[in-house]
Amino acid sequence: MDPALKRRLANRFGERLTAPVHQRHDETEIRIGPGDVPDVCRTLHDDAEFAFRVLADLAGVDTGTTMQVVYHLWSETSSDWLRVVADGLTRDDPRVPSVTFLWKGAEWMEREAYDMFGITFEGNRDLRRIYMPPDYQSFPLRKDFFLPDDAARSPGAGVRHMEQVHTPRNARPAATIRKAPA
Amino acid sequence: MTTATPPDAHEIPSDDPRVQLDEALGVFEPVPPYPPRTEREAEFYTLGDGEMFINMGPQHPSTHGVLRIVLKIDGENVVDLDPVLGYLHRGVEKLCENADYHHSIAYLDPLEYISSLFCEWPGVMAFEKLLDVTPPPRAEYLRVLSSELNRILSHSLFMGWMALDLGGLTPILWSFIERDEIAEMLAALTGQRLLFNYFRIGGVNGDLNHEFLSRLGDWMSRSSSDGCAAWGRWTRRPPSGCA
Repeated sequence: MDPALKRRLANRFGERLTAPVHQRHDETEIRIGPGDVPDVCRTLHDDAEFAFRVLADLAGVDTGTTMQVVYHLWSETSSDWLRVVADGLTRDDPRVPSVTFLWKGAEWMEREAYDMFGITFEGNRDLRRIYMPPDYQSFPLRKDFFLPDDAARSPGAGVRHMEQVHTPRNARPAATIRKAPA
Repeated sequence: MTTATPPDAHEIPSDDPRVQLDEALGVFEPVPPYPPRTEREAEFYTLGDGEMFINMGPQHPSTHGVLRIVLKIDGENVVDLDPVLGYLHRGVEKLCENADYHHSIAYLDPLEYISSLFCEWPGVMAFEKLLDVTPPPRAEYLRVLSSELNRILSHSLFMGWMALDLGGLTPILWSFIERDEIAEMLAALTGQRLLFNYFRIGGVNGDLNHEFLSRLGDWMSRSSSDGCAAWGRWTRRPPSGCA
C-alpha cells in the first residue's frame, strides 16, 4: 500500500471523488460518479503519474438499492493496485460509459456485467449476452432475481441444521442421558 | 436447412428419421436465427466474397473445456471468429450469494476439480481479509503442504493428458498412478478424494493424522525410487523409430 498514491489521487481528482480515497490492507479505492468514468479512466491510463495500463477485472455490483461498476487497475510503473468504483447507477436503467476505448479487453468483461446485471455500457460495440442463451430474458445476479429452488426462501428459511436450538421434531421423548438411581 | 425437393419425389412423412436428422443438424446452425443485435455481430455474420462459416465445438476434441467457436473462413484461412461461451456456466456466484461464507467454500471446489485446494484458497483468503482473521502458522503450513501435494497431483495429470494429446497413450496411465496415490493421501487428510473442502476461515478442517503421514512417507520413498522417475524417463524418451 502506497500512502503517496492516496495523496496523488486526492490532488488530481479532487471534487470528482464522491467519497474520500479509501485505503485498507494493500488496496486503494476511489469512488466516482458514472458520468466521470471515461475522463477519470483516461487520466489513470494515460497519465505518466499513474499509468494504470492493466485492467485486471471489471465487475458489476447490485447492492439492493443501487448498482455499481468496479474496475480493478494495476499500474505498471508503481505496481499499485487501484479499485475504481463507479457508484450510483439507477437500478431501473443502469448505464455507464464503456471503457473499451482504453482497454480492448474490457469488451468481454462488460458483456459479462451486462449479462449478469443488465448494466448498459454505452459505446461497447458488442454488448450482447456472453454466458446465458441469447433468448434469455432476465439478469441473474441482480438482487431481485431469486433462484427457483432458493433455499433462502424455502419453508426452512433461516434454519441452520447445525445450529438448531430446539429439539428435533422426530426426537424420541425419552431422555438420552439417564440419571443413576438415588 | 431447406432442401429443394425434386418435383417427382414422394412426400416424406414427418416421422422419417431423415427428417429428424435434418432438424437435429439445424440446432448448431452457425448463423443465429435472429437479426444481429450489435454492431460487431452484424459485422461478423455478414459473409464476404468466398467466405463461409464453420462451427468448431462445442464438442471438438481439442477443447477440453466446452467452448464453441464460430469460424469465418476463406479457403483454409480463418479470417474471423466468434467464441460462444457459457456451456459450463453454472451460476456459482448466485449459489454463493445464497450461502454463508463457510458454505460457499464447498462451491469453490468444483470450479477446478483437479486442483480444488487452489480454488478454495483465494476464497478463504478473501473471507479472512474481510473478517480480519489471521490463521495460525500451523494451519498455514497445512495449507501449503496439502496444496503442494495437490499441485503434484494436477501436474501429473497435466503431463499425462498432454502426452495423450500428442498421441502417446501410456503416460496417462502412469500419471493416474501418481494421481491416485496422492488422492488417497489427501482423502485421509480431508475426507474426500476429489473436492476436498478442506480449508476453513482461519484454519483448516483437520489436523495431520497417522494414515496421511504413513501414506505420504510410503509414496515419497517409493516414487523417488521408481514411480515418477520411470514415468519421466518414459515421457522424455524419443518415440521408437526416431532414436
